[in-house]
Amino acid sequence: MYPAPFAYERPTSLGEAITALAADDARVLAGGHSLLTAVKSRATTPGTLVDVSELPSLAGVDRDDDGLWIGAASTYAALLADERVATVVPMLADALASIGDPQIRNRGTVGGNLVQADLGADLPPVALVADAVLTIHDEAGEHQREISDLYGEEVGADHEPAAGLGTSALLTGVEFPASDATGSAYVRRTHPATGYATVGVAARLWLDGDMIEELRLGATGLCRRPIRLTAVESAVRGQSIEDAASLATAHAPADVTSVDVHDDPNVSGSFRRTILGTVTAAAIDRASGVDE
Amino acid sequence: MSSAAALERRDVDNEHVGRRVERREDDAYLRASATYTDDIRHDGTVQLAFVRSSHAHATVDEIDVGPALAIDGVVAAYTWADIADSPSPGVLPIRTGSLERNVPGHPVLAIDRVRYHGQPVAAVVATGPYIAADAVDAVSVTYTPKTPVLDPVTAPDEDAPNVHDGVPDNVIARTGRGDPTATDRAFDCADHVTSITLENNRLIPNALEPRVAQARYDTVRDRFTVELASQSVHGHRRKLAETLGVPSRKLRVIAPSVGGGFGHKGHHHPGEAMAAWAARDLGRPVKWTATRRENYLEGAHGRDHHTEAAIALAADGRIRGLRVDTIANVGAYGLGGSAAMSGWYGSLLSSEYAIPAIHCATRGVFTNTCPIHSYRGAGRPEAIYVTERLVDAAAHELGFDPVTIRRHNLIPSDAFPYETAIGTTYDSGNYEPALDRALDGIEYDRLREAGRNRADGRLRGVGVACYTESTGGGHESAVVRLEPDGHVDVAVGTHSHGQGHETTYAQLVADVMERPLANVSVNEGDTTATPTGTGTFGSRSAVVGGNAVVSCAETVLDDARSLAADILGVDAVTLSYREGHFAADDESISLADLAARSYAWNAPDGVEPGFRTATSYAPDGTAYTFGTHAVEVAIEPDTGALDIVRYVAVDDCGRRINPTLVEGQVHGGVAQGLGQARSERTVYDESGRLATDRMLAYALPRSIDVPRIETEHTVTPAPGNELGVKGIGEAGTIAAPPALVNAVVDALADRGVRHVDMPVTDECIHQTIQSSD
Repeated sequence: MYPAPFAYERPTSLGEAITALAADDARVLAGGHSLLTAVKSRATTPGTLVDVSELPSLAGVDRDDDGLWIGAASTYAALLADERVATVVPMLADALASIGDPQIRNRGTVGGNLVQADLGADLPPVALVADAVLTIHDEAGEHQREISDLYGEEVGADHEPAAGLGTSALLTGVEFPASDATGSAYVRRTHPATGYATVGVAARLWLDGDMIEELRLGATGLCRRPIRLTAVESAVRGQSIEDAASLATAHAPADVTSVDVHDDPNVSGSFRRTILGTVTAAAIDRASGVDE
Repeated sequence: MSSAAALERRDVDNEHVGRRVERREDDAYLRASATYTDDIRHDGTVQLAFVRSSHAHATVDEIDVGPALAIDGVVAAYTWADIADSPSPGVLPIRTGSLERNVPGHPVLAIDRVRYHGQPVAAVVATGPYIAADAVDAVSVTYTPKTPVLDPVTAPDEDAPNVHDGVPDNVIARTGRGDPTATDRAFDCADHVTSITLENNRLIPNALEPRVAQARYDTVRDRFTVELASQSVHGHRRKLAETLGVPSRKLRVIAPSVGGGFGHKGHHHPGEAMAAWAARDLGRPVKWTATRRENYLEGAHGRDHHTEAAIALAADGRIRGLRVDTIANVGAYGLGGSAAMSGWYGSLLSSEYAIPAIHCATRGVFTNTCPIHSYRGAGRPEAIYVTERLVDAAAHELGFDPVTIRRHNLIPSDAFPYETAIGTTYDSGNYEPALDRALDGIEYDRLREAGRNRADGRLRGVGVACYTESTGGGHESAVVRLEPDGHVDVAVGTHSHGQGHETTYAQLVADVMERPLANVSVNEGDTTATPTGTGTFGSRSAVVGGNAVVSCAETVLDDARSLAADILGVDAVTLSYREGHFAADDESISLADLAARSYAWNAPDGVEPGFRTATSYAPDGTAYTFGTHAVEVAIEPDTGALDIVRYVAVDDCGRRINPTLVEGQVHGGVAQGLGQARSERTVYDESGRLATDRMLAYALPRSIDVPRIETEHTVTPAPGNELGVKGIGEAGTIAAPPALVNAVVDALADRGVRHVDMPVTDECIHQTIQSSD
């Protein structure tokens, strides 16, 4: 549990941070809950850790007609304490509340969670379902990226950040666009060892009476990137909410046929496939009862 | 006045014993002001770290420590060749008395061959832990891999490779207990036989504080001082002396605050031995601190039993006999008595039942895995699990309610002392009231009436497990004396690493001497404080240590009384004693006065300063704790998701010195027992590397996984010790696994399920449901 030598920078401006990130094998250090354990066990050996805790305006929440903007360094606990989060994006509040214990919620950050995208991380499927927009700073300045850009076919090697971010880049904020959906929710089963989601599903739906007009589903825990459950989405679209559970259970396997589902000593890939339908059904059910 | 009578009297108006006295030690722990071994700073200390085998089984062809020595700050690097050149044997002692063959113990560094993933191969010493870790990475070791033996069940097969050359079938211990002929006869005459094949899963101890040691060597006095996380400083001194090849008197061993033991801090491991060896070699203080991962790799691990068992019954449900055949995994090396441990595991196979014939055959087998040693319960959970699972399985097969069959076979309360067919003598017991209380607590009849299908679509199960626990073995050393100001100083050979001895021993002494708790201090964990000592394990401290301190305190008071009588010129028996004062007629003298006089240059002949009294106490036989745990579960059939709805624990540990601490032990034990039953799985991959080598991979129970534990008790005093106490440290780890598994199997009984192996994860339950449909 003793890291290999590394350089440590704590920039106080975005410019300094981008410069620092240009160093060889530089990594952003935010809450550190994924990165530091990997560094301590020497599973990863960064050249430089760029600590973003002193950067101004990287934390905080802003709400306007376009949606909800969240600073990348906002902690889970800070967001859970902000009632605008649960009001605008209920599934995000669900996901935040399911993460870890108080210590983790007090340290872990939204940006770290999305960029690290650990197996079973709770926020990536929520961001995917919400079509979140990322604000990224790099040497070329500030620009916006779709959340789907972050998670390509492969997220990155173990303990590495999502490849889609690019090098020397810093995620500074995430926008959850305003939605006219009826409701949203996130439901997970907890992994007995890691405490991450064994399988977690974010659901956002649009209801017309009892009929599901539109539905977006994102799942975590299956592989090292969040995936959309498009087979379930098309099966449930246009159907009654009463039938959603059985349709979800029936069609969820189709969404993971071509996915190399993660196996570990505690939970097999086959069991993850098995419970995906049940967790999806539970997420749809909960979303139908939670107003956006 | 005898102890028993004295305590009888104090039963009426005990100030402290039997009360919920708050733990005195917690302030330091909760404010992080306690000093653990790693917190201690000695000038000039260097850090030792191990290079560990990346293979389960291999020959070590070459070790190149050169690149490590080239790193700035690296002080030394050692291999077995250095140990071999030294006056120390460098091999941890192994008790070979009851073993099939003489086999070598665990070498502190590998001798040409590694036998498990994580075995220490070389050691580096550096000015600090970070450089030491760099140096470990810099050492290169060339191995030639050999085929590992990983499955203990097939390890004795002819075609299995050998872990040790002198043990061709990998079987190192072979034991038979009980009467095989009588057992055969019982099975021949039985109306019904129920068989079971089960595994008691391998567990990895996870104390909050990993193992750690600091060693200094005094070149002038040729003497070692070793501070370490230990449950038994005297035990560690004895074993360290053997590994180092020096007499025990050359070693002082100190255990400061210790963050949990659970057995694995009672064993001797290479770390403390290498630290002491290197301290002498380098002439400077050496510290070794295991990382969490090293604690996983080098355990020692616990359990790992593989059993075929059968129970024979008459048609009316009366148990006629029990036959057990167990393969116990020893791991790659015997540590102390670990290889022989399987030999005595069967002692509790009778559980709470009158079983006329029992036979238990065990084989301890070597495999290329981390050594196995005692882990909270140490043989008792393994034995009770076999019997309690079999009784449930037999009840289902015969169509009896599992409680009916238990009640039918309980050893009656007037049968004690009761010798079981396996040869153990239960000192006392009154089982039915505890069983009844557990059933009332869980509302057994209501649950049975409600059936297995809940209104919410989940399956309901209720499980019951009875148990016995042997507690309080061996002897214990204590020294009690008064300071010149009358303060009571208590030293004991046990060691508290969570148990709360600073509170419980003080409660006992405060009541004997009628002094406030604040006037009693308790010291443990230093080989210079008591002449000998055994330590804290096996639920023994209250029984053996508790009686030892009481016996000493009473002698101190008697000696003070004699001096008071001398001074006051009266007969000692006419003196009254109350709250620190002896009185006769109008005259009185305080304990503090007497203490001061005992230290004076003109103290009367025969008066020890402070009335210092030392004892080595041994109880008259083992004290048998018992009880019944009951659990209600609900299972979601589609996913196997299991919810522990309620958990009721009824334990009888005789007289309870501090009910809060007793309940704490039950809570902790049940949490650990449920961890074994529900989630803890140790996995070696096909090449023999430990896959569950960190908390992210090894599923310890978390607070949210542990249900509220409802505790109740009955009191059946132990006849074999004056206090009437029995140990309670391991009860939860014994009772919880069979109670939980019985509940799960009960929930699935309508689907024809007869057994599930631990850990009973959601996935395991789901698979069981799938394959039963």
